[in-house]
Amino acid sequence: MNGAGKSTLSNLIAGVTIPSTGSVLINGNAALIAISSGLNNQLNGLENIELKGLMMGLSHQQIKAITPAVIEFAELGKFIRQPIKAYSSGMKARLGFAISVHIDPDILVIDEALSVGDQTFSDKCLAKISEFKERGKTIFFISHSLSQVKSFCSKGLWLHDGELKKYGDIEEVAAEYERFLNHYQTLSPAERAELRASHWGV
Amino acid sequence: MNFLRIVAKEHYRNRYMIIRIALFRLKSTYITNRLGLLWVFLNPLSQLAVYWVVFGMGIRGGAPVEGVPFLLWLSCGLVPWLFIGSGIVQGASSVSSQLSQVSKMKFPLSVLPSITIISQLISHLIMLFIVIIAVIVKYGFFGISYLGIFYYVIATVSLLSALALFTSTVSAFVRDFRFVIGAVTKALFFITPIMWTVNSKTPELLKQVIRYNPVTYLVDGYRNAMLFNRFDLTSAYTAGFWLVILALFAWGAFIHVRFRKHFMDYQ
Repeated sequence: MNGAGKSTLSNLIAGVTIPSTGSVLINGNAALIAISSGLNNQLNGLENIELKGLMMGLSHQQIKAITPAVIEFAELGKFIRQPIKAYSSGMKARLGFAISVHIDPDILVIDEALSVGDQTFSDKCLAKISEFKERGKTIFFISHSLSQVKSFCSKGLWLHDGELKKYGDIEEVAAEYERFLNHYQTLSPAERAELRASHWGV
Repeated sequence: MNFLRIVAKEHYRNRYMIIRIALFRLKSTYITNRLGLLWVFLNPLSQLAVYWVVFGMGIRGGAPVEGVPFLLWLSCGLVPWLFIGSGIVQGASSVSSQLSQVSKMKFPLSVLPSITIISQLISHLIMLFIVIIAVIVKYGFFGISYLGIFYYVIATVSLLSALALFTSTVSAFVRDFRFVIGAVTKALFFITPIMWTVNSKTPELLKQVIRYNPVTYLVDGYRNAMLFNRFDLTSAYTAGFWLVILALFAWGAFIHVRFRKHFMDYQ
């Protein structure tokens, strides 16, 4: 549910924010797939590939090496030389995703990144991420969509109000989350409020 | 002293990125204008024209300064000032204005002020080049004192970067701070001898203020190197200037490193 702490956790894993208490131990380099950040609307697609690559810590050579693959993956055709303010939101998402995914980190954090773009493109993204999975990389896939999570993940972690509800095999966690959702939907608004209040300890 | 190492390391590792992103920033600022990069010249030119008419013609009646035509004398002070003034103002908002672009990624935040200063530096160098050409046309080639111009560019970048590290951190949390910066910068423009000269009628207190204002050191230095073939670093003033920068940098780095983990919460 909203406000559970999904994005906070993903930011912590990716090193975007620093925990106020405690520490995060990460084995490898982690990157968050953030589609729109690091893009500049006035610049064209090619310049944005370089800009975002630089911001994500790539060297000049690394950027040169990944650029053809990014262009091909984004499938923007001649638009790659247009300022991205002329892009549709779907096109911007393609470019952003294409850059992020070609940075090639050890640990990939995907926070609702697949909810934009058309079906064919999100299928393509899923295929690309599956490729990561086959190469033995760790992927954190953060989503409200139970069907996407079930089809993609092998382990599940259910967060509720900032607390770990359940962690384990995806089938088990998903089944329990589904039971909770069904139960929650049968409650009256007053009962829902009571449930939420009890969780927040009010 | 750990914070000094963190800031220095982030700059050294990302030196290429700083310059590239600064260029992209400059490009994206001017690309939307119909006249594009031409505004790098048109903007200062219009200010130069106003000050020349008001101060040069109006107040001074067209009299030269130390034998140098007022327009040329003014240009040699105004071009450094435009860099300093915009560097102070833009440097202070360098974190808050760029934060949304670097959110959601592990970005070495201490380089944000430097990116802003470097992108200002690029337009400064273009203007400086034009003024130097004008001086050469009028007085011929000076030689060694041009090394002085180079030195004062570095000194200005150092002052602005050190200052921006501190001011950008404060204005990331206290947005009103940029109004203070704006007011102080305006005052600084008038208490630095950019359009006028210190003379026998200047009150003693004002003379002291001007003397201990680091911007005077820079503007006078640029002018002496460009117009009067003077470049001398052996004064106590130089040592004082660099001590101020060192203190400012240490303080800025400390504040920045100490508070930057909260930047994203105040976005």
